[in-house]
Amino acid sequence: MSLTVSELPHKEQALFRAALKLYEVKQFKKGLKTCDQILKKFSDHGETLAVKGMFLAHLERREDAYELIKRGIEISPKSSISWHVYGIVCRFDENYEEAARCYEEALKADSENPTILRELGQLYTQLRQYQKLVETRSRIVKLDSKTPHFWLGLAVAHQLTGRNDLALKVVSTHEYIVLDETSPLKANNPNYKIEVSELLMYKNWLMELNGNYQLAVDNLKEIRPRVTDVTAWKEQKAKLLLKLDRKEAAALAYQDLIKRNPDSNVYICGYLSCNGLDISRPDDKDAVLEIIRGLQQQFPTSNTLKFLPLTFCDGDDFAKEADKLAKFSLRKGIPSLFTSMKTLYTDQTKGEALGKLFEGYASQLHDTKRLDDSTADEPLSVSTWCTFYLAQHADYYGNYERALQLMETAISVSPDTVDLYMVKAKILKHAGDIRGARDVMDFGRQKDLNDRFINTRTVKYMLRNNEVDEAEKTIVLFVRDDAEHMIQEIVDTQTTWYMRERGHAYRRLGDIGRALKHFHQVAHAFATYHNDQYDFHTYSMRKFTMRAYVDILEWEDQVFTDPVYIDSAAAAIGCYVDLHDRKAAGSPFVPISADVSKKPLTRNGTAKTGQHNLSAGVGEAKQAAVDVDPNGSTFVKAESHLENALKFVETLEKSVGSQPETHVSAFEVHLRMKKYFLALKSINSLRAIDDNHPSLVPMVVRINAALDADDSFAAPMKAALKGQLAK
Amino acid sequence: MITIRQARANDEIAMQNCNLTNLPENYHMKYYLYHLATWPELSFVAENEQSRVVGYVLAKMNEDTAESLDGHITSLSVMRSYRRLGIAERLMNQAQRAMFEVFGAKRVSLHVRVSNIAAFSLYRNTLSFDIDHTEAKYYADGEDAYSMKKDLTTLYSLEKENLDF
Repeated sequence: MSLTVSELPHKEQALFRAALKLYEVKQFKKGLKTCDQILKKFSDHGETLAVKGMFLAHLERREDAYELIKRGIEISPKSSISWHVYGIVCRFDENYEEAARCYEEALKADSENPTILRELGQLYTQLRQYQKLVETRSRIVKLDSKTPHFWLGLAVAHQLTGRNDLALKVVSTHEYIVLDETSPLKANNPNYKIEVSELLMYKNWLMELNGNYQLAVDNLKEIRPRVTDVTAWKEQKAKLLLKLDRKEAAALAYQDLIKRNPDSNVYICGYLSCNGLDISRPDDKDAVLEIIRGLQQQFPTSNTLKFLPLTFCDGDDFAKEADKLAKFSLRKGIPSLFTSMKTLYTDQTKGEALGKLFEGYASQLHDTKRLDDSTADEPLSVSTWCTFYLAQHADYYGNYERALQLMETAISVSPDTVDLYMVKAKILKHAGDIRGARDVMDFGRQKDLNDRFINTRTVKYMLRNNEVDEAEKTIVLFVRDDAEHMIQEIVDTQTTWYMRERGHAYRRLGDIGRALKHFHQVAHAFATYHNDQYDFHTYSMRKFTMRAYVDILEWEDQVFTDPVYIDSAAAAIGCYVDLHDRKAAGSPFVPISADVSKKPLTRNGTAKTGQHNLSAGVGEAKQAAVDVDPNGSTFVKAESHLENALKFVETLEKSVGSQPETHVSAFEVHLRMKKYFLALKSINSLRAIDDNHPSLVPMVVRINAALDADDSFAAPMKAALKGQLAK
Repeated sequence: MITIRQARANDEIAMQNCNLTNLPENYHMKYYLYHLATWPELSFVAENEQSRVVGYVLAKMNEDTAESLDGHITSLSVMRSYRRLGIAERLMNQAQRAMFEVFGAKRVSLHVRVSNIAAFSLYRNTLSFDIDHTEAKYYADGEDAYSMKKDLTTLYSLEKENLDF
């Protein structure tokens, strides 16, 4: 019935309100019972049906939930509560677009409901509909201009639409509410000082974004007594002074920062800018080196200052600085020395110079046990680390035999140094001996079973060698003992590197089902990362951490550009295309059955009984699910492989449309789906990035052939496409 | 060589990866986001010449109101291949100072496995932490932890800023 709640008898009204309260405290079963009490007398009460649906949604009865809610809305289509409930459930299912539409409907009937407005704000932010966000938050602030996180939310919304000026205006208008010494927000608030500081720094940042540098500098002086984020304040000062071209003052500010952190590239380069110098300009080299040497004296322990000269010096200066750093590092025994130096090898003369330098040390040490500045015999470790460097140097140039010889020498002297085995394994990998590499890495691992780092490396090398089971046995050595299911724990802790490597291993082994399963696990982790931001759309303003919040949004916008994601998505596309092709050729891939004798692992390595698989999940709300699809057959048996591949294609096109591989992958799917215009688009996108890309010619040939073979495709469209291709 | 800087949102995947690679105590991404959105000034990363994160410290203020002036180190880890560069020390120094300056922390605390000699030595000898007490079976595998603490008020002071610029 379309009675509103207020038209129900008092008893039922009270029950309804009670049901809503029960929702807030997450007592879903009780809430359900309460709704049923109302429905007993008013079985068709629209709003109660909807609310009951909401409870069902939280009790894992999704289909019933939607059915009831929709019925409730049919009965009371103008009810704000019913639409709000529908919105909540859609939001719960991460269907944010649908949720936003529901909330908009809910608002029509109740345009000043603060809860609806706030939640809609969250949705608009998640959907990146920033203009609508501004409108919604403006309405909130009109209703309540005193609560800080409302007007802060509005300021941020303006900032997100690029209107830093309006953001600034909102903050300036309302900041007195927080900043006034007599502010009621001060009382009983242990975070007051921090909140003031964050607000002031946020405002200053807005001034900077708005281009008001002088205003911002003046403001900085004013606000300093109340700012606790000293580092950010000092960074702002240096940055703004430099922007105002006040080089001397900026230089002092950067010196101050360097004192606090002499291992900051940013501060050091900032300081150089103040002196009109640019580390990448060849003409500035001498002047830069002089300054760096001065800083090195002031901050002799700074690693950054030790290495920086090597990046821009050449000739004698380079040799001198390299000699300094090399000796220091060899004597200290720094394992990453070559890894750092490696970045310099793109300059061939530097690589050669370094090789000569260390060869020189090696022979000197061999002949005299000293280096040219030694006051006593060097310990043997210096020579070993030198050999270690030379081995990696040889490896870099592909001289694997020599590299391995040198490693043997080092190992014979220092057989318990795990770093040696890790690098020896890497060299073997480079040389193509995957099995040998894995053996050496595992040997090293057994020297230090308490170290997860080498365990991780070993697992990776095992997977590269397609030893899926062995890798699994090894990785679980570091999975929490109390984890119900060890393997699921690895998925639950978002160990994406492992899922990706395992996916590739299975693909190499021809097990497309399992491979897909793992690539989907990676994708799921990243989808979770993207979804994680949701709560922060309100949380951050409550905490006054607007600066960090905007940073989080920017990251989330880019989250699908992560190389692990891209690689897994591309691999998933490849797998789906493979499945499609096999099906089309009449020999569809058959999921490889699970090894019946292999049961889920426990800590002791003893197998749990198979029964465990069935009983898990019952009675426990959100326990980690057991592997219900061990061989990936749900992916293999899916209706349309190409549709599934398309989802990945679309994400990649959106996030990394600048990478050629995206369009190469996309083409494979669009072509098979006979979406010729999309396939053409892929070709054009690829051409725009790199018109010499090797895939271009085959792509054009194949699309032409496909068009010729496709009788069902309309002739005029064919002609249009071919015309486009000819260009 | 290695540069030290404040952690940003786009470091979180790398921090999580570093943590999963090196330690058995792991966290969901949302927990990293929670740190950054609540105490953004306290976490730091070490970055190598190829801009890869090779070490991190994930830090917070103690949420227990009784000890709300205690900073806490949630997690600290440096890739094994980057030892002997003082990275852990540098990360800790930045985090500690930030705790003191930004949040007025008087102390910082952390947990370390009683068997982890290397870490214990770093905290006790290099960073001057003291053992406050032992927490039995703190870790998921049943191992005990030393709860270690350090007084920050003797290390740092609020400086007088030069506002003449």
